[in-house]
Amino acid sequence: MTNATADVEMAQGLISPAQRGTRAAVERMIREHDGWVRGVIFATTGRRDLVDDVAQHVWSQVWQRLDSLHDPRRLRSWLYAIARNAAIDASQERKRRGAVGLEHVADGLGDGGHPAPLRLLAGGELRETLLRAVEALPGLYREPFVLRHLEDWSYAEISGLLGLSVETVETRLVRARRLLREMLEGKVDR
Amino acid sequence: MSEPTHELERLISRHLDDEATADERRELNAHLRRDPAAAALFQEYADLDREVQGALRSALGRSPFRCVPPWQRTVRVLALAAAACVAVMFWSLPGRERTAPARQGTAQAGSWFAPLPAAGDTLVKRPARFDRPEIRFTRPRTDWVVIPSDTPGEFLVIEVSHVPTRTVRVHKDF
Repeated sequence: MTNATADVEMAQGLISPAQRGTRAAVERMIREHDGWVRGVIFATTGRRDLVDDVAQHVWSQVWQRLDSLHDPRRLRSWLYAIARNAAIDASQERKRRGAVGLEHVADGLGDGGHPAPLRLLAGGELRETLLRAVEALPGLYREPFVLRHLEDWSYAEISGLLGLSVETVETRLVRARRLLREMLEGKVDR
Repeated sequence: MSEPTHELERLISRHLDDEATADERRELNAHLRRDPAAAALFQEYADLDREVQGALRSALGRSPFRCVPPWQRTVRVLALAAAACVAVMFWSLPGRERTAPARQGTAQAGSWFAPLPAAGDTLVKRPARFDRPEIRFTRPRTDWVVIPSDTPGEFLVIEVSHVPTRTVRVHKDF
């Protein structure tokens, strides 16, 4: 049985009970999909501080609109649309309130072409720098990169969710890695 | 960026993502063996991938490991079952009082259930008659500490629940 077939069968067995209000089915759905949904929120906004709140909002929307999902095979793309829209709304709301934009994330990654040697940094500091670098990636590279690294998704799975060709996903992952390497040159301990 | 480097990066990326075919893996290995610079680049990308993956999973609430292998689940279940057996064993040790000590009204001084001394009484430190080993059962959400009292067969069980916490940034909103 292929992964895709298994996913569809799992979704079919999950959606109907969840639509009938079976709490265990809803909990299982959240447990199975929350990881990548959070990844999409992070990839779309580029901000970790929004992830918890937006994810909570997404699942409350899912709960309210679950009846509108008629085809269980579309569960992933349906969730993706809700998560992405909620993330975009949250980003725009944050900008309207005048909070700091995405520009802040590149702070500290380097100082005018003379990056500090981060191989000397402690684990927590290194992790923070890496996350800032991922946040600083352009959104179109960040999205496949986060899905790949957070969920170990294959190119085919990522392309299916994002509506891109497998070749485009591959190219974006190569470029994301190259950009990260350039941003962090000499900073990762080996 | 030169074409050969771009092709090498593509192969490395496919290899790290488990998407490389057998031919591509052979090609990459041959390249890495004959070119130390390529090997260094591969190592750099592999390190970066590993570190970023750990950072992302840790930051977004994912375990550094994607899922628990079945054998680990079995071990956990067996460990929990063993802990439960030990607890039952303590509970049913011979000599354990079957009635609640409070009802007896004469709980011994060494008992965890002995009444507290009245106000004004002097507490006299007395050495324990035997060592009181502490037995600890640890689970992700709860710890149990089992401490035997001086009275044989009587134990103090302390349950410590871990309080789940998360950080929420509070913004000023005027």
